[in-house]
Amino acid sequence: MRITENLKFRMLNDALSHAQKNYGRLAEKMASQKNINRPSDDPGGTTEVLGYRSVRESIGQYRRNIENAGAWMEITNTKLESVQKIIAEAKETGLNDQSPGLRQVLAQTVGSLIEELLSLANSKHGDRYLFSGTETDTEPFRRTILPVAASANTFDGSLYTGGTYAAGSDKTFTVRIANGGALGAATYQVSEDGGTTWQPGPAGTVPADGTITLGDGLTLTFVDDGSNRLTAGDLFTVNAYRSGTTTAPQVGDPRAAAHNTFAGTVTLDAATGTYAGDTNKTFVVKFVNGGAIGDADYRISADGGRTWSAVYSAPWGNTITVDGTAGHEIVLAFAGDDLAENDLFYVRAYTSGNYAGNGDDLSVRIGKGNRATYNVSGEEAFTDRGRGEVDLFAALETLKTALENGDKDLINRQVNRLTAAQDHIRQQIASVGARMSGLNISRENLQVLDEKMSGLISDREDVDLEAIIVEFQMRETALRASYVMAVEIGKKSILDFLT
Amino acid sequence: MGNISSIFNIAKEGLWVNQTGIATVGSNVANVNTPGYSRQRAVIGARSQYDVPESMVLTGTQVINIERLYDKYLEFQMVGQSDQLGYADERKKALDRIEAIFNESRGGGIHELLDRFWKAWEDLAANPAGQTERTALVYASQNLAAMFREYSGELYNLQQELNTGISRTVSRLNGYLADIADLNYKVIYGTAGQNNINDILDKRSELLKKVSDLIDINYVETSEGAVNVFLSNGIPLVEAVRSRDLAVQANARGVYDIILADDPTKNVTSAVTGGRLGGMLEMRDHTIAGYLANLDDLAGNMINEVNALHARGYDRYGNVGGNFFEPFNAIMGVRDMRVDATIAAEPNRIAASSTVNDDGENALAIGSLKDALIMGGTATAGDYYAVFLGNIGQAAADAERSLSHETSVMTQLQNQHEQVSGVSIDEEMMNLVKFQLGYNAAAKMVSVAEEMLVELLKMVER
Repeated sequence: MRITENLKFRMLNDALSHAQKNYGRLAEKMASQKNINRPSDDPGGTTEVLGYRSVRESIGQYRRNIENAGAWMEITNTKLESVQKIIAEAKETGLNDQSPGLRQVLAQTVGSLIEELLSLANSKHGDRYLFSGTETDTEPFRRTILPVAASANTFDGSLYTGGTYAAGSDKTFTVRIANGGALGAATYQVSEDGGTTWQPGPAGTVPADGTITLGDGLTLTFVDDGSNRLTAGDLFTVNAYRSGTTTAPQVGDPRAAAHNTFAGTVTLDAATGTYAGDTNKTFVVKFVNGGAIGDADYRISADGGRTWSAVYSAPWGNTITVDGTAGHEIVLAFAGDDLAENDLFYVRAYTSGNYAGNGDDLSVRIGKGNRATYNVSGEEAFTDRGRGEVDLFAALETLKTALENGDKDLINRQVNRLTAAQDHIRQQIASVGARMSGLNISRENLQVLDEKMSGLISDREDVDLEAIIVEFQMRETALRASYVMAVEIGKKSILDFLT
Repeated sequence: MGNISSIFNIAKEGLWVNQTGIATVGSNVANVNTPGYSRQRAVIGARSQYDVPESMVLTGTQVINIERLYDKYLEFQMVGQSDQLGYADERKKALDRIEAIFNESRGGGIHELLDRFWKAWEDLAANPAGQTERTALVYASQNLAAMFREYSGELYNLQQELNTGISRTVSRLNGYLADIADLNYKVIYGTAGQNNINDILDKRSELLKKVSDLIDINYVETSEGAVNVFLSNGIPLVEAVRSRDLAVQANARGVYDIILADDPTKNVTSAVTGGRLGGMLEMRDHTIAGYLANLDDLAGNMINEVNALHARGYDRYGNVGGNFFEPFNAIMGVRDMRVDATIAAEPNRIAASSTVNDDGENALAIGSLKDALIMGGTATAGDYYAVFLGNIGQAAADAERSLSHETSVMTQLQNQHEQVSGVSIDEEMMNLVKFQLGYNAAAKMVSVAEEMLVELLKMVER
């Protein structure tokens, strides 16, 4: 082989740059402590590591979700246990044979227990109400203005109060049936001081629709859905509270979504009846195309917009019936502007009672395709609607009134109701506990998975420092040798020997 | 019997031949570091002296020619290897830059922002009324869109740079082709002397390698000594003393096609598959275009899926959800990915709920897209991106390996070439010593002949 000057230096150059490159790569690994410093260092590993990181990110999210849901449930648990104590205390008040004087005191005790329950049922976690279903920024409960029928009454239909109480202080209204008979025939008298004095003048006649005026904006409605009519001597008590809510089923004012194109008005049509549903609902109308009032097609939802009816086609005049229950329709009337696609209108309907939230579940993801419900709705815990069993507020209000009136039979019935409520709340507590321990298991599994993932990432990504250092020293020696060789070879020449 | 003057003559030839030998050594030594220089050798032969009687044969010497030492076949291989090397080098350079754009080994890339985007939805689901969560989601989405825009914008810029590079390279190539035609002229019509012709041949070899570095060519050497250069599809670029220019012309996609300057209808882009031009075309039209299409695919699917779910939900005010991202723009693609202006201006318009009651279910549904196989039913967005990144890494690794392979083949060829044509100082020094000795000896001959002549004249004087 003929060795020329260029060949000699090129070979040296190659050797040097090769040694430098290896040296540089190793130095980079040592500095970053990572095997993969760019995707081409390990393309397959890059893909895997990104996948693992994504999984870890999810695990982190699931763990945070579990923490949050766990905290929520912890608080729910505490609140429900306090509720249990209130119920137990309330039961105590009704258990003994008491003197009239003591009963008034006990009635006051029940009154303060109701206030306590109210504040428990309206508890918040952060700024979200614990017990209002998914409507977490709606205060779920208010004090009820509840009509209480005396246990000795003959009338066994249902009752509710209506209107808005406008007086400056709390009052007890009493209604006494003067002459029995069907609605429209029976006569009544009203007392505003618990039956001590009666309104002057002749007894009024109960109108055919069953709604009589108590005063201060309040009405009382008799619904003839039992087997016995109003009978002379039937007695009804209504404790009115300033901040209280009447118990009639209500349909709220229809509302238009804030960014509708439609700028006209939407109101409840006169054809709207009393809401007859079992649970609180939000009815929604959504227009699927635009047009003048009466000309646009629409859909209706009875669950807040989650599921939709088939398309109702134009023409429809100027009213849309969102709830078609015979005799209890909810009808919206439109006026004033053309409608556009996606214009949205909704109206809330509340069943009788004092619950303003809904019965929906709140849930979080605690794993891939795995969700956990973490709330107990107020409907389920404190009402007899939906999944609920006992209207706890009604039971306590009735107990209070019964104590005030000395209605022993009514007291006993409330004690039984409270016992049922106790059982029901106990079940709720047990269910929350079971869900929490489920979450704990998930949390532990996620912990294990997370460690495994970080191990896998480390295997792929992190350098074995000892091996690297040994290799680094080897490379360094090689590089040094190359330098020495380069310098020595450069020096040697035939010219040194020619004279 | 030969006369003294013929001794003078032979000695003179000896001086002349050795002097030429030394001169040759001189030019070899001077060009020891000249790229493309082939070492030269004075070919020396004996010469009969015809002006002497037949009984006495005196033999003189002469330089037959100055030989250029090179291996034609080796050169052919080197020209061929140049285009492979140029191609590999161009790919490696571009892929290095792409890899640098997408380097996520320190985090902070699209993959991480994707994760943060899904997380923001999930956080919102847990607190659908929360302004902090809503604002955080808007930021996470804007960051994600910005990162998509940035990455794809950088890819696009690189594509445009390559496009400009193609145009520049074509004009450089035209210069080389014209130079080859010019050198062909000098070789055919012999306007240079013997010494210069070797120099011209060296230069032409170097030019062939330079051309081949830019584009894949075939070439043949004609009997006249010219080299004819052809494109890979047989279209001649240099024929004897005439060269043919290539030119660029924007096509329907807005990038350059390569055409013949004298026949703009003749698109030769597809014939260019090697050399730097081939590498740039491959990167511009396939590799980078492919990566941009991948990003478009990813962003397009995400935008569509998120928007579709978003339109099923309700915002804080009970409105039906509008667009979350601006709809995918078919022309600008991912380079114009943006969060819808309404959402960006008013986070309350994010449709987080599946009812008008702020339940957060819709945010949860959108957050769950993280695990949904939204990429053609086979991959999640994150997986798709991870594989995409793996592919870039693989391509970069392949390009590096391929470059190092082509380089080592080239080095091998260069070493072989160097063995034949390179200058060895040791060898030249030995030659120098040799020719110097010869020159000294011939000079001695002159002085001996002179002495002889003086002796002879003395005898005549007596």
